[in-house]
Amino acid sequence: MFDPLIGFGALASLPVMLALLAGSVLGIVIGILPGIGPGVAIAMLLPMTYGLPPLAGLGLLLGIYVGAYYGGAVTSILIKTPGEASSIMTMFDGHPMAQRGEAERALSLAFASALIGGVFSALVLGLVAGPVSGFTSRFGAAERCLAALLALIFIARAYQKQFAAAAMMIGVGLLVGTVGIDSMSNEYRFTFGLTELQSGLPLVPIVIGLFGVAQALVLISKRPDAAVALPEAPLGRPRLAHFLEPFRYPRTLLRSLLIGTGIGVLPGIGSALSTTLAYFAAKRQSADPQSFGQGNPEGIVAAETANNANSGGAMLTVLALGIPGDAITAIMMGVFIVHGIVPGPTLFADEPHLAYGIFAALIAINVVILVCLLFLAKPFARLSQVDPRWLGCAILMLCFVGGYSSANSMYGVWIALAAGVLGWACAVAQIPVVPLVLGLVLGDVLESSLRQTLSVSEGAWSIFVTRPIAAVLLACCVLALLQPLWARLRPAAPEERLA
Amino acid sequence: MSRAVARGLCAGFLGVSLVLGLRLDRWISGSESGLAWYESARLFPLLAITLVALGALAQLLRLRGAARAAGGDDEADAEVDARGSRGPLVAAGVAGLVAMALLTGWIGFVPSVVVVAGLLAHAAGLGARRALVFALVLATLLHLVFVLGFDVWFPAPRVLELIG
Repeated sequence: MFDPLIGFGALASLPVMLALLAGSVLGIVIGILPGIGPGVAIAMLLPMTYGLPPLAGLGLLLGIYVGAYYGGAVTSILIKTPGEASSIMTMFDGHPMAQRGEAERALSLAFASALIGGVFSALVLGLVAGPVSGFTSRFGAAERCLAALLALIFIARAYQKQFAAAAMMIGVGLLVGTVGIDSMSNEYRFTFGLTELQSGLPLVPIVIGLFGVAQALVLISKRPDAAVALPEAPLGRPRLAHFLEPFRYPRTLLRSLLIGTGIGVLPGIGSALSTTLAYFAAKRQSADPQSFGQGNPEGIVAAETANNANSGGAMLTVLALGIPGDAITAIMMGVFIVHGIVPGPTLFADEPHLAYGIFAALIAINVVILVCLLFLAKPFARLSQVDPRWLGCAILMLCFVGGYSSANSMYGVWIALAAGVLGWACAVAQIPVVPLVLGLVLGDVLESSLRQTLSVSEGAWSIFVTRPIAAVLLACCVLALLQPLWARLRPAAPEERLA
Repeated sequence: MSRAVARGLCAGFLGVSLVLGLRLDRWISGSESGLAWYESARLFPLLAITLVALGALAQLLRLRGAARAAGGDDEADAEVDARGSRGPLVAAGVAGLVAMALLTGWIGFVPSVVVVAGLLAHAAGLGARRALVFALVLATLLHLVFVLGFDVWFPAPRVLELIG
């Protein structure tokens, strides 16, 4: 059970508090800047967190993760330019409100809704993660193997029409993860006689390349779009009445909280879907659905609450299972690994200060971001006018520093460069790269648990159905794979056909 | 363009997976032999290779079907939106990173950033003076934050050794 004293006590140190503040501000900036997502920023900054205490490093990255959600809302409302895909729904009602002179009200609604979503999901995470990790601590190798497999299937399924491409990229990630000396048999795998490859291909430069370098190449090479001007009128002082307005829509609030947190837990789905589902659920249930898209405050409440409720849910699988659900949490796992901490069921027993500190950090970050944005929303929004070509050059140099410092040699830079070219080619070909990262991260768990399981059963695959939890997980895997087939065979409802 | 690149990438992944699969015994070698199949270090790479090959094949067939249907490009599922990026500038960016890796050892980190970032910004269409000011500010900031703040250590410039 979440112990607030342990959690907030763990935050009471200067490096941790400074990291939370810096991460929160940086996250807002990242959310506002055009073309940069939190994944790029987190990948570039990951090597810098190695010298920090674990909670400070994680606090910095969590601040960026959560801050980007808030930052995306600012530009969505003020200049109709969502910094993040998950902020598109906020734009539909936020921008019309800003146009009719209610920018302050729209921003207050968005920030308050995001705060409620963020704090709720952190509390849910705090309450649920302990019992879930207690349950998952009973997992043996077979269950760990199937849990990792289920996560990978979910990730591939999340790409719907690109399922084959996502499966291919997962395979590439799994294959890249096998490079180096096999820890179980000491055999050399795909090292081609190179000493550097014996310890495997490092995750951090690959992630820096796939996200950072690829994004920098795109920003440098694109003609900048015409910047949208900020509203001339002053925003006005934030008003408490507007801040409390989300509570006027308790049903929408609760529904969006559940959708956001629930989808956050599912691997690979992402916050963009949760905001869309929450928005259209609110529209369907509304007495005045026609007003959605024309400045209805309920639309902002639905989208922003669900958007920020994702953050806690996404951390749940990392903390309780050691399985990341998206690229950002996969990168964050790097912080645990560098410090020799094993995320998963044993984390709560081994490192309670860290585990509960993360919940407390999530709550603190939401409050810090809110305070920053309530008074500085418009100056922050001016950052959206930055020429993307400056950003591209700066990101490329940051990737160089990140790649170099990850291995303290140019080896990391060369890997980041190769991964960057692959990432750019994938972006042009519209092939997703997140499955590659998750395959790379989960490959180790999947392989070691698969070989352990088969060693125990002496090669009999039936072990996956004779253990009850494993059988349930296997059934989930089969259902997740077959569900699209069933959906294709099932006759479509008239409204689905229309859609 | 995107469909041609997608076809090229998938064909590349398919080819690499076939080569790796066929020469697995050569590229996975070491002390252990005579292990049961389920304890072998070859099992998991073989499964991964199979997944890559099947995924690439399915994607190639899908792309072929999409081309026959003569539709537009697929909906963007990639995380980075690369539509509208210009090849020569992408090549310049890649060359910039290569130049950084080579120059840093010779002239040091800060001068390398000034040279490479300045040239890149200028190539991207920014005026020479603005590009130079930007590169100087960026180099100073990176030095302050990473070299002084985070203790990132870069090799001493070799040119100093040559000068004596």
